[in-house]
Formats: sequence, C-alpha cells, structure tokens
Amino acid sequence: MEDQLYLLYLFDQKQWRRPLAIQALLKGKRTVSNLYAGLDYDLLPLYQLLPHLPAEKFQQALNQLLTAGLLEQAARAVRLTATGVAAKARWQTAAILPVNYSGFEFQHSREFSDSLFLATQAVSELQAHNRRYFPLEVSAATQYHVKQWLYQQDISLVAERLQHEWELLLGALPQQQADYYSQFLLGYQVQRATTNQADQLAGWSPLTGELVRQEVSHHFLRLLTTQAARFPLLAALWQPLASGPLSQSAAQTLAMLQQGWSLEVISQRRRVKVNTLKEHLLEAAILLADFPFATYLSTSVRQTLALTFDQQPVDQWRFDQLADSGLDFFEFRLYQIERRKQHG
Amino acid sequence: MVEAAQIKQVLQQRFGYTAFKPGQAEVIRAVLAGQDTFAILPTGTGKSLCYQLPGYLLSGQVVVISPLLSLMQDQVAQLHYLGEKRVLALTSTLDATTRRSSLAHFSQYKFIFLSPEMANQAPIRQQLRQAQVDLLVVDEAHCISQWGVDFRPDYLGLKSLRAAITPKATLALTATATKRVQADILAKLGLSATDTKQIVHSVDRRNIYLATEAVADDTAKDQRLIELCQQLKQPGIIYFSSRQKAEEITQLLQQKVTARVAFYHGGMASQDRFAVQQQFMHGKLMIICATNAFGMGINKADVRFVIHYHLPSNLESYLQEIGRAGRDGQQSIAYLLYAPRDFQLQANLVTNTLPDAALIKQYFAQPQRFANAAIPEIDLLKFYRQHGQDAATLQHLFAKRRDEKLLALRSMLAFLQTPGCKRQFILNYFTDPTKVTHDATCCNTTTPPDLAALDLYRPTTIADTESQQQNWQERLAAVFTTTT
Ligand SMILES: [Zn+2]
Repeated sequence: MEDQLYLLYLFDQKQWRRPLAIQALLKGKRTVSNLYAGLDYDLLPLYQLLPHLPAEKFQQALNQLLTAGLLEQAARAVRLTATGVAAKARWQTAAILPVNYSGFEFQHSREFSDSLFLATQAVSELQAHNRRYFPLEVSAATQYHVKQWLYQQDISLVAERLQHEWELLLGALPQQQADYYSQFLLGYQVQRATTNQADQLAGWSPLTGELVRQEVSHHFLRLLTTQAARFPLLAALWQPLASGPLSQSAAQTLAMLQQGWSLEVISQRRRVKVNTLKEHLLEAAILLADFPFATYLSTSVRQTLALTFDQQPVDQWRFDQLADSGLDFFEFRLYQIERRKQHG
Repeated sequence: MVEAAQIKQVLQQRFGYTAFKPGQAEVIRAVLAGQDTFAILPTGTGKSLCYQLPGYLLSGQVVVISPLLSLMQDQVAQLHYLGEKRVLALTSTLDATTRRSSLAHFSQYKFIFLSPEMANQAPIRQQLRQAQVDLLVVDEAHCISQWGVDFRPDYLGLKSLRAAITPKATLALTATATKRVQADILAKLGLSATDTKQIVHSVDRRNIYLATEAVADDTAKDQRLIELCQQLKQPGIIYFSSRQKAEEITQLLQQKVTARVAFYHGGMASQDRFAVQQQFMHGKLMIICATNAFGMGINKADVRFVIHYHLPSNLESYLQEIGRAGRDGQQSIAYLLYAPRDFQLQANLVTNTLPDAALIKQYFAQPQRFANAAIPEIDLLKFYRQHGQDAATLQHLFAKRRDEKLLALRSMLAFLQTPGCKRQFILNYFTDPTKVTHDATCCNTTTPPDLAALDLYRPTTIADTESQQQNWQERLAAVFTTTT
C-alpha cells in the first residue's frame, strides 16, 4: 500500500479544497479558518488525526498525486480527477481507514491511551506484588491521573475486572487490529513492542500503524462512552479526560456568556481582545450542535445578509460584497456557518 | 559529620548493596563533608550512586546538571525504580501546565535534574537561588569542555549558576578526561585546583578486549558485522553515527542474524525508546543498533560486545561507549570496524555543525535577517553576539574549535594505527599512570582475538525463538497472569 494514496481520502471530485487547511486540521491547529474549512469539506472529525505529520511529507505526497494525475490544482486548491476517483474507489476496499475516529469528541484520546497502558502496567505489577519496575514514560499529569484512579479501585478485584474490560474491548475489534494493539500492553515480565516492531508484525507502514492506533483508541472510547455500564473501570479512567469539543479558553468564554456577561466585560475581566472572544464564538458555532445563532444574528442583520447572499452557493460568498452594509466579519462568518450547517 | 555506619545503612536499605565499588565511598564521604569534588570514575562503576546516596543524608536538595535528555530520563526512571518519588526533571518536553506546577512545588523535590539550557532560564534560576541546594552535580562533566564552545554555550553559564546558588558542595563527575580537559572543567565551574578534592581512578577496563579491524568498504563492513553478530556471545550494542544507518543495519541483521534486534536513536518517540530499553534489559532483545543517544543510563551488566560501525568522534566517546560492555566484570569485547573513507565522513560530521567564516560574516552584517532561523549554528552566533563578541573573534574561535575537533578525531586514527598496545595508548592519552601487561586477552595489536580462549563464542545450541505473544488473547493472559 502506497502511503500517499491516503491523501485521496481527503479530497473530492467536485469541491475544490485547500491542502494547507486540511494539513493544519490533521495536525490539530485550531484556527477559525481551519475549522471552517473542516466544516465545509466535511472533514471536521479528522481533527488532530496526525499531530506529528511532517509538512514536507504531506507536500511530497501531494506532489506525487498531482504528477500522477490523480489530483488537479487550481490556485491554492485541489480536487480529484476522474482517474483519482477511480483510484480512490479501488484503494478504499483495501485500505484501513479511520471509522470511529472523532477528533473533537475525544480530544484527549492520547492521554487516555497513555493512562490505559500505565494503569494496566500498574495493576499487573501490583498483582504480582512487584514494587520495583520502570513505569511507562508518560506526562506528570497522566501519572497523577492514573494514581488517583488506582486509589479508587478495590485492589483485590481490580486485576480481574480490568482484564475483563480489556477482553470486551479487544474482542470488539477486528482480530488483526486487536493483535496489533495488544503488542503495546506491558506489565509484570511483559515488555511492550515499539511501534516499528508492531508495524512489522502486522505488515503495515508506519502511517497505517499510526492510523490504526488512533482508530483503535477512538473505537475503545466510543464503546466505553456509549456503554459505560459495561466498562466501569475504564469509564472512570476516561471521565476526567472527557471534555466538550471546545478549547478550554473558548469553553470559558461561552460559559461566561451563558451567565449573562457581555463580550466587553469578559474582555476586560480576562484581558482578552473582543476579537479573540468572537473567534471563540465562531469556534463554538462550528463545533456545537446547539449553538444559539439567533442570539448573535438579529433579524435585521439576517435580512441584510440574506439579501446579499441567498442566490449564491455558500462557498462563493465574499466578505467584500458587504462593503457598504456596516456588518462586520464576525456576522458574515457566523451566518455562513449557520447556512453551511443547514444546507450541507 | 556523617558516620560511616550511617552511610553503610543507606547503601543497604535504599539501594540494596552491601559494598561500594571503587571510588564511590571516597566521593560520597567528600561531598558529605562539604568538599567540592572532581571525580573521574570509569564507566560502569555506578557514578550516579555518588550523588543519589548523599541525597538521603543531606537536608537540602540535590541539583544535577545533565547534558542529554535521554540520560536524564534514565536517571529519573532509576530513582523511581528505587521508590524515590521526589524527583523532578526540568526538560524542554514538559508542557506548560506541568512546568508551572513543578516550579510551584519546587521545594518538595529532593532530586532536580536540569539541562544547562534550563538552568540558565531566569525563572528557574530564581527558584534555584531561593532553594536550599546542598549538592550541585555536573554529570558527564567532560561535556563542558567537549561541547561548551560549540553546541552548548549554556554550559558557560554554570559558573555563575554555582555562584548564585552557593551549594554546600559541588561534584563534577566524568568517566574520561585528559589533563587538559580536567583543568578546563575546573575553570568553567569556577572551582580551584587546590581547594577541590580530585578523585581519579584508572579509566582502564581490563575485562574488555580491544579489537580494531580495517575493512575495504561498506559492503565488506556489513559482511564482517554479520559474521561478528553470528559469532559473538550476546547481548551486544552496535554504535552508529547516523540514525538512518542504524535502522538499515537493523533490517539487515534481522534478515541475516536474529529477529531479536532493534534500533534506538534520539529521533524515536520516548515510549518507543522506553520499549527498546525494557526489552533489552529483560533479554527480549539481544542486539541494539544505536546512536550515542543510547546507553548513558543503561544499567545492564551483561553486555558482551560493543561494536563501532562508524568512527567515534574522539577517544573520550569511544571509551564511554565501549564502557557499556562487561559491567559484571566478565570478559567482553569492543570491536571497531573502519573503512578508508570513514575518517573523512566523521570529519565532515564533527565540523559541519560549526558556523563557517562566510556565515559568521553574513550574520553579523544583518543579524535581523536571521531572526526566525531555527538553525543551531545561528543560535550559537546569536548567543555569542548577545554576549558582546564580534565577528572577527568568533571566526577565530570557531576556526580554533574546528582544529581541536579534528585533532581529537585524529587521536582516533592514531589509536587505530598504533603499532603498540592499544590499551596502553588509551591510558597514555588520558595521562593515566597504569602500566599495562599486554597479552592475548588485551588487544589485537599482535594477534587477532581468540574468541574461544576469551570464551566469547556464542554457543550454537541457543535457539533463537523466544518472541512476543502474537495474538491478543495470549498477550492479555500474560499481562494478567502471575507466575510468581
Ligand atoms: Zn594490549
């Protein structure tokens, strides 16, 4: 499997898409313009899928596909050619693509998988009454988090229960993915594999390996958030990491607005520019299912915007068409987000 | 004054040892008596115990300046393993939140590990100044001299750091230093030769056979490497100066010798590095193809061979790296393979990190043009410019530095070409007074190594099978089954 073919998955035959925005989304760069592109391209769930993706590798793969005629380029945007569509269809049957991955729903999935393996190691060593071992290297916050979790458990039962939950999780995966993921388990007298060793064993490229690891950890999270009663231990391990899709700062802005503060007062209190707060609102408008658009777009503003844009496809709107209206970019973008969400 | 009995007690209860290795007791007594100390102890003799143990008998904190991230991580892991939780490593990998909270609880840590760069940051200096530091340790102190003038200008700040935190004692530790480097280390730390206790043990490790072998080219080298890996008693480490080559040769050895080989270098994720170390420690991996990022903190006693695939950049590095063999005192072997073009390859590597005259000129003409360049050479120039140096001085400095590095590399060449005993050559280089009795177990200057006589042949009866459980059911069972 040629790794660059994964790129086909990110492009469309009709829609022109900006590779730079997609790359930034995959890396987890949270700017309003990247997020809007994610919404517009229906790629939002891929947020943070490949945080360590080197820019030159992405560019190299893009060039290869352009040269091979699978993609075509106009200005800063790219779309699939007919050959590209055919290649994508051929390739999709063989490729392992993320299905359960949901970057905003499970923002802290990496911390979770670190916690999961460290907790398992600690329980395994505890069960063997071994106190001298090298704990998996994780961040200080994750160490603390796992310790707190362990204190809450009934020590006499924790190993059996944890093993049972692991069995349910791994049993729900395709065998090959379960075998692969289990190579990273560690514990008493059991050493984990390196990603390179596990990739070799499965016959996967490093990129496929990384995608599978992401997919599996999100698959686990999907299971234990939707069926928490079956996974009491692991649901408790995830619980402190669970958060909404918003960044911490945006979530704080939204909470203060809900308490009735105005943007100006929040700006003074938090020493954050009003424009930054408006970006938080746009982030929320893109990511939340129940964003109160009506609060920020009055009927008269909406009428002006409708008059200018309603005969035009959403992706062709330009802010400068509003030059004499007195409306600002925030209102323009917010209306665009609302319409994009309504009409898909 | 700490009693000898107290020291012995900590040794047994905390560390589980009954006796000291040569040099340890002397160093520990000196630092506990508040004596600035410079210790040269050969690799593999437990240098870290020299500051870990005093930590338990001093009321204040122990601050350790460490040159490499991987070394720091290893040392922190060691202390965790011993059940010590009051350990902090201030590294560039800490996220902002953790870093803030660590600094807020600074006084609660017993052992604090820092890179020289970190030690120079204002907020951290501020914390250190307020802390009660009883012992300041400079680990791998030869780096001050080896690196101080090029990659790591921050080492130059250690003198002022020491003046600012006024520790009760300072301990500089290294395994290798020539007389010149020893003097340089003292000067760079602001220690005086007369008031500093110097504890110097022979750098010789008699149980490591020294072999060097010339090969025609890389193909011949690969072939010879395969043979050695098939013949020699394992486990072993092979050192490379390039990450890519370490990965390539791993593949080659997997095909030709054993599945139980993996690579290790600084470009890997920390959890992958952790996995390789653990597998090696537990005997799952028998051969590691590594760059010099591997091994400073590795506590594996039974490494039987260290092979150098590339020429080390100087004799200090060579000695450090081969010192990872034979820590259990059993017969081991160091093999250095070299092809005619290796010298030039290494010469390019050691000098191309230094800014050349043209770059220095360009930078000083328009420093603002380089404001956003993330290049080590530019960082270096920036540092010196901020410290008031001009272009002419720096040109001179780096030209001199380049010559010194090439000179150090030529000492490797002289070592390879010496007609006499190789062990004696090394000892002479480090002005070590030990006189060697050269014989068939010493080095290959007269006859090639007799692996049978050295008992270094790999028994052919060992089956190369033990591998990881491959399906998830077995693997899960292994994690949750106690067979104790
Ligand atoms: Zn000899």
